[in-house]
Amino acid sequence: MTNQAPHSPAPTQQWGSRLGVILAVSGSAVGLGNFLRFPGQAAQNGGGSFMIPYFLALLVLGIPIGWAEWAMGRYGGRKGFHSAPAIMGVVGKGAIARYLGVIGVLIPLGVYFYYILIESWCLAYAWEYFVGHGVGIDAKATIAAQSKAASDHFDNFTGSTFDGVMLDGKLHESVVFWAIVFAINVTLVYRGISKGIEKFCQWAMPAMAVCALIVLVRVLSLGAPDAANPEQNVWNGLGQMWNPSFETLSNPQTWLAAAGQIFFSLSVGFGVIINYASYMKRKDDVVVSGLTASATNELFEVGFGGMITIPAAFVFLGASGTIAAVQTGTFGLGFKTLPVVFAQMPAGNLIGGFWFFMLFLAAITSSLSMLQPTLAFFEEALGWTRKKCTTLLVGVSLAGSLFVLYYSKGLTALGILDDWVGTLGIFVLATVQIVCFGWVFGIDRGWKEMHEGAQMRLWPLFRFVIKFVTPAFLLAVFAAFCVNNLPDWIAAVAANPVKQMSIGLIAATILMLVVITRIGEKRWRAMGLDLDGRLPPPDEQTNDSNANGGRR
Amino acid sequence: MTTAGFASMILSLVFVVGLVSWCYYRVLTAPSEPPKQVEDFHSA
Repeated sequence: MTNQAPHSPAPTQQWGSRLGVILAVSGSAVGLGNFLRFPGQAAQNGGGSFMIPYFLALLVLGIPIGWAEWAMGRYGGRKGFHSAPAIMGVVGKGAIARYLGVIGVLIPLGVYFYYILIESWCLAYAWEYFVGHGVGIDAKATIAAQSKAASDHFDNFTGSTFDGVMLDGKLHESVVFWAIVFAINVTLVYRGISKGIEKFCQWAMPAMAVCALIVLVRVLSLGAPDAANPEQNVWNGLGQMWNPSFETLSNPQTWLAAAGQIFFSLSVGFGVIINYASYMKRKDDVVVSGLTASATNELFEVGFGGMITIPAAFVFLGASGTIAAVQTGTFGLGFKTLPVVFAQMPAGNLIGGFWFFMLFLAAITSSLSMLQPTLAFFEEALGWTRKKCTTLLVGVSLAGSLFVLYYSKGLTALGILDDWVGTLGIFVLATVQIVCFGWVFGIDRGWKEMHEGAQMRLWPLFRFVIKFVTPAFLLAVFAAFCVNNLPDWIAAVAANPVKQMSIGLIAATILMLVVITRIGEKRWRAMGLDLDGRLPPPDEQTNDSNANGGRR
Repeated sequence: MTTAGFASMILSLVFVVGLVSWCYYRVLTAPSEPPKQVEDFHSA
C-alpha cells in the first residue's frame, strides 16, 4: 500500500474491491439530506408530481456529472494523481483548471468544519434515546409544550443561544461527542482507503439500511394511533408526501428545487468522487459503478426518506403541524419535530435511537469522504509522510471546527459555511468539471475514457447530454440560484461580524490551499510529471510501446 | 391518499428499487479479475 509508484508524487493506494468503492461513494452521497431535506422539498413542491423534474434532473444532471467525475478521477489516478487540483490540471490541461481544482479540496474541508458537529449531534441523540431517556420530553404535556422542550434541548445542546458557550471550560455533552466523532474520523482516514474507509463503509451501509428498515416498518405499522383523530393515519400521511399537484410543474421554482436536491444529494461537484475514483485501476468499470452509487443514494432518498419522515410527522402532528415542521428546515425537522413524534410513538425511544444512529452512520460515511481528498492533496503536494500530513489535517480541521463550535449562536458560522462552501462552491466546481470534461479534455476522449473497462456501453445520446445538455442545465440552475440567493447572502454578510469572520475563515482556507498547490506544482514539475496533461497516461504509453514492439 | 398519489409513490419506488436491483445484479455477477500469474512458484 505504501509503495511509491514510478509516476506517482505520493504513496499509492487501491480499493480492495469494486463493491468497496461503490459503497464508499454511496456512503459519501447518502447523508442527512436524504432523510430530512428530500421529503421536505418534495412535500413543499408538489408531492408526487415533484418526482417528474426530480428524476429528469437525475438523468440529465446527477448521473452524467457523476460519470464524468468517475472517469476524470480514474484518468488522474492513472497519471499518478489523486487530488482535485492535480487531476483538474491534467484534465483541464493547465494551471487555470489546476487552481480552480482547489475548490475540490476547499469544499470537503470547509464542509467538514461544520458537518462533524452535526454528526456528533446525531450520535449524541442516538445515545440519549438508546439509554432510554430520549431528549427529556414529557409525552403527557401538550404538543406545543413538547415542541418547546425539544427546541430548548436542541438549542442548549448545540449552544445556539450564545457564542462561546460550548468552549466555556465546562464539560458539555455535545463537546464530548464532538471529540469522540472527530477521533473516529481521523483514525479511520489514517488507516487508509482500503483498511479504513472501505472496511468501515462495508458494514456501515448495510447497518444504515437495517436501521432505516426498522424505522420504516414501525412508521408504516402505526395505523391511526389517535382515536380522536382517525384521519391522522399512515395512509393519509403518505398522501401528504405523495399526492401530486401538477400545477406546481408550471412553477420554475419546482424545477430549481428538484435540480438542487439531486445535485446536493449525489455528492457530485464535491471533490469526493474524483478523489475516490483515482484509486481505481485502468480497466475498472466506472459506468455501472457510478450508476450503482447513484442508485443506492436514490434508494435511501426515495425509498426511505420519502416513506418515513412526513408520514411519521403527519400521524402525530396532523397536516398543519407537518407543514409547519417542514418549513423549519433540516435541523428543525430532524432535531426538533421528530423527537416530539418519537415521544408519542409506542417504543419511541428505541425507534428514536435507531433513527439517530442511522443519521449518524449517514453522516460519518460522508465525513470520512471529506477528509480523504484533503489528506491525499497534502500528501501529493507536500510530499510528506502520511503521519505528518494527518497531523496537518487534524490541525487545520480542528481550527475550522473549533471556530464553528465557538460561534454557535444561531448556528451562524455553520450556516455561512454551508451557504458559501457547501452550496455555492459545489455549483462552481461542478460547472468547472463538466466544462473541462466535455470541452477541454474533449467529449470524444472523455467518452472513450468512460468506456475503458466499462461493463456496458452507454446510449450515444448521453454524449450529447454530457457535452451540451448538462452544462446548459447546470448553468441555468446556477444562474437562477445566484439571482435568487446571492444578493441576500451578500447583504447578510455585510450586516453581521460573525458572518464576516466566517467568510474570512473561508478566504484563509483558500489561501492556504492555493499556496500548497503552488508548492505541489513546483514539486511535480521537478519530478518531471506531466501535470498539464500533455501526454497519455503511463499505462497507455507502456501498452503502446509493447504493441509497437510486437509489430516490429 | 389519492389514487394519483398512490400511483406516483408506487412508480417512484418501483423505479428506484428496480434500478438498484439491476445495478447490484450487474456488479455482483460481473466476472472477477483473473488471478495474477505466480512468477516464482516452487512446487514441493
